[in-house]
Parts: sequence; C-alpha cells; structure tokens
Amino acid sequence: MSLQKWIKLSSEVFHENKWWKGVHDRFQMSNGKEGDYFYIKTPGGVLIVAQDSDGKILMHREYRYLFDKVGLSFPGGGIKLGQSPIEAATAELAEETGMSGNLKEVGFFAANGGLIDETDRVFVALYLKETSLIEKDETEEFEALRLTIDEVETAIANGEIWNAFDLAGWVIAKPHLKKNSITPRLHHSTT
Amino acid sequence: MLQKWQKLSSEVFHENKWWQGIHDRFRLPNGKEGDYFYMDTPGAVMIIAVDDNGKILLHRQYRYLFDKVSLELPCGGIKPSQTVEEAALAELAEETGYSAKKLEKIGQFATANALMNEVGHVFLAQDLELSDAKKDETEDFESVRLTPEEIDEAIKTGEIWCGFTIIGWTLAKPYLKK
Repeated sequence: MSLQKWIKLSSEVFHENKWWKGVHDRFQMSNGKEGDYFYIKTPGGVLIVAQDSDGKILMHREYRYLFDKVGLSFPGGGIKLGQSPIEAATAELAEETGMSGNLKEVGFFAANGGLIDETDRVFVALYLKETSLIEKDETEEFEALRLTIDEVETAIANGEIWNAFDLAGWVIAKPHLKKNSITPRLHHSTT
Repeated sequence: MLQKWQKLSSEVFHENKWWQGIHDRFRLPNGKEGDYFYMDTPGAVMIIAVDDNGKILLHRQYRYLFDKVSLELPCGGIKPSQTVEEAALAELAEETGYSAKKLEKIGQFATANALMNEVGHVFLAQDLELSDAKKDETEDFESVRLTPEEIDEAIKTGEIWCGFTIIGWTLAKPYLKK
C-alpha cells in the first residue's frame, strides 16, 4: 500500500470560541519530513432533507454573513456537546421547520476535509408532523419554503443553492427520497 | 425580508501560511450584537479533467484530519500570487501530471459558508497533454481514472466522502458530452 499515514508529533489548541477550536499539529510523513497543520475542529454537523406528503422538500432562505447574501439551505447545523447525531438532527429539524419526522441516516461527507476536521451526517426525514418542540435560535432568521425535487435541481443549476454543506447533502440524500407524492392526491381531479 | 447584519469591527487573531483567523463583532437588525469567528483564505480550485476516452482523472489520497484514504478530484488552495485559472492549471499538473489545452470555469460554491469565506471555483479541463509536473512532496497519490457511472456509484457507496468532489462532480455533469 503506497498511501502511508502521517504521524502526529504534537497537537496544540491555539484558539477556542463557542463554536470551534483552532488547532496546530506537527506531523511527520513516511519519508521522514515534518510539517505544520493548522485546522478548525468542530463537534460535527448534521443536515436533514425533509420531504412532506406532497413530495416537497423543506428549505429556507437565510442571510449568510460571511458572503453578505442570502442562501437557500436545508435544515441543519452543528452537533452540540452531549448530543448524538440523531438527537442533533431531530433538534435542528424542529428548530428550523417546526416539524418532527421519521429520520434515517443515509450517508456522510466532509464539507472541507483539508481545513476543517468535521464530518457531516446526512439524514432523510419522512412522515412529517408538526411539533411543539421549538426553541428558535434568535440569530437565525428564516424564510421557509417548500420545493419539488425538480425545483431543488433547478436551484442548484442556477446557483441559488451555493453552499458546500447543502450541495453535498442533497446529492447524498436524493436517491433516498420518494419520487412521487407519499400520499397520492388523486381526488384533486374530481373536485 | 431577510436583513443584512452590520459589521462593527474586524480583527485578525491568527495567521499562518495558509489562512487567517478573523473575529468580527456584528449587529443584527433587531439591535443585538454578537461575535463571529471565521477562517479567511484566498479560495480554492477543483478540476474535473476528462481524457479522450471520457474517463475522469481522480486519485486516492491520505487525509490527515480524518486519518483515512479519500477518493478525490484534483483540488487545492489558491496561492496569493496566482489567478484562479493559474491555480487550476497548477493543481491539475501537480496532482495528475497533465496540462489542459481547454480549461473552462463551470461553477463556484462556498466551501463552508458558516465557518469560512472561502469560494471553491470549479473547472472543466479537456484536451489533456502530459506536462512536466512538479509534484507537491507533501502529497502522495494513487491515480485512477473512472467513468461517470463509476463516480456516481462511489458517491452512493460512500467511498467518495470529500464534499468538494461530490459538488464538483455534480456541477460538472451537465457539461460532459454524452
């Protein structure tokens, strides 16, 4: 096997805030060379693609400070200390949509695996119900909307969904969604 | 309507060869103030290089932060002295040993919009020819060429877990010749 692991020589937290740590490692490669690695460490993230009984996907528009513009996103966020990934996903879905549902973990990705030590887990939520368990984060202001699968694809193609977390999460979740409405609305043709 | 936040102050609290750590104070529309800590980089490039048989150039690489091997498209950070296109050609040469006569920017994305201001620029590279590549010695690669179907499958099975690669591939697919 030619791809050899690097050895960690030392690890130091040079910065810490409420959301992440800045870490500086010294490492050694298999050829003996040493180097520095500076990275962000987080407790990990969750992203939830929630599909309602009409087959539509729950999304929201949110102001993104670092880019000074609005982005179209799926529910999701960081895992808080003491939370399991499924607990974090359940809480984020409730906080951001007011819904609970049947959650299933369908995959994972590293949004920026070169600089951020964070694994993001992807959940699909079906059979949604309104929940009273809502504690809205007051720094988060949302415009909620529901899109069909095709409309999500269009939003990716036209650049309206522009963040790695949402783009990668969608690609992983999509094969696990229902193609048609979960509850067929056949009666509509007769009303 | 979604209102903008106001930046009150901005301070560099950390600096290394690759990025800066920045701390902003901001004010929300409702008057509340807060702290934002983030990483500032010159941006990143990702290259989808297609050979004459329609196969895509990827590689397996050890990822230190995850202590495991990752199957990825060529990508890397932009150096302050480089234009975006120069960075794309340099990464392609360093990681595949090829240069491209045809290089087209096909999209961009934010690589982590809550933690970093980094933009990832996605390029499609065609008409490849061997270059005198200068390999980055911290990077040890196993080169592979995959068909589009094989890449889709590797994303489904989780062998590809690099977010850049998943996104770059998704943005590139509509541009590939059938």
